[in-house]
Amino acid sequence: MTSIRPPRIATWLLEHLTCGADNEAVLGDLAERYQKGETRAWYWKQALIVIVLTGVRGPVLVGAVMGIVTCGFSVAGNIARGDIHNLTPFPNVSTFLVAPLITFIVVRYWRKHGFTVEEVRGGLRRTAVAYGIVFTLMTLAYAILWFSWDDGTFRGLPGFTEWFPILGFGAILLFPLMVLKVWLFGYLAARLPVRGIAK
Amino acid sequence: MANPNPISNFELMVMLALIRLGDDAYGVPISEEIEAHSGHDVALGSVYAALERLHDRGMVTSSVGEPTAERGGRAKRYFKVTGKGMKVVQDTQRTLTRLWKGMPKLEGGKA
Repeated sequence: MTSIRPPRIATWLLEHLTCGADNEAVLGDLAERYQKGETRAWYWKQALIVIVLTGVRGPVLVGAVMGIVTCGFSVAGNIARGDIHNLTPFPNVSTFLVAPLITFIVVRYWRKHGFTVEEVRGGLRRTAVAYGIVFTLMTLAYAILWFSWDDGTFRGLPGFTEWFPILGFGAILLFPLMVLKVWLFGYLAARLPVRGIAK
Repeated sequence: MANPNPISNFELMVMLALIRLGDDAYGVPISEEIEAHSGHDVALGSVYAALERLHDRGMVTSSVGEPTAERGGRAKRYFKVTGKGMKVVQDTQRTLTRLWKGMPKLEGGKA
């Protein structure tokens, strides 16, 4: 039997953007049907559906949980400092706008796709690990930016409420960056193995 | 009495395909079986999403087979209906049969 190789880019995307126990099986099934005569377009379509169904599911869940946790911590911090008039989890973005929005998205997605208790538990555990890794890396990156933008004078690590040093670019830049950060957390978290939960 | 384990139309199709295929139920034949009987294309991703939900609810079990060359060296994952899954399918069949009994003839989109 002649070996026909499936589209490489689609396969690479499948290998790197999806997570779950069935990754190998799905890739094998797609290769088998492709060998049987399915078209490249069919393979690409199937690959994109798998990526959306399995690759997006984890990051959306974990990213959303992370968003809620971040908002909660920030608000709790503001309350603890007695700063109840400035309940902002992110610079220039109101808690009262972000938290309900994220909660709404989570609940809608949850109801539509029926996450299991195990998925939520796994998501929370992965979130904790991913939060630590990404927060550390981003804080270091911000610290370097902070350093270079202040005439070479090192001002130290930015505090929690001022860890975003480019406020001058305004909230238009900030919101996509915030979304990117949530996605980064989610993507990393969904790919992290957690014993007993990871598939 | 309401079925305590309701399954969607697609999940029921997947379960029936598993029962029909017996020991040879993995992604490719499952999707082909559903396509052959429904007349529609079926996304493998949807099949696996349904199988994962059914697995989480204890209605199917899975085991990994041997890798083969035609699959690029990747292993198959075989699925089987559990006793609980079989009971849910039987309950669903009884419910649907009762509902179909005494139905007026369906014509041109009118009941």
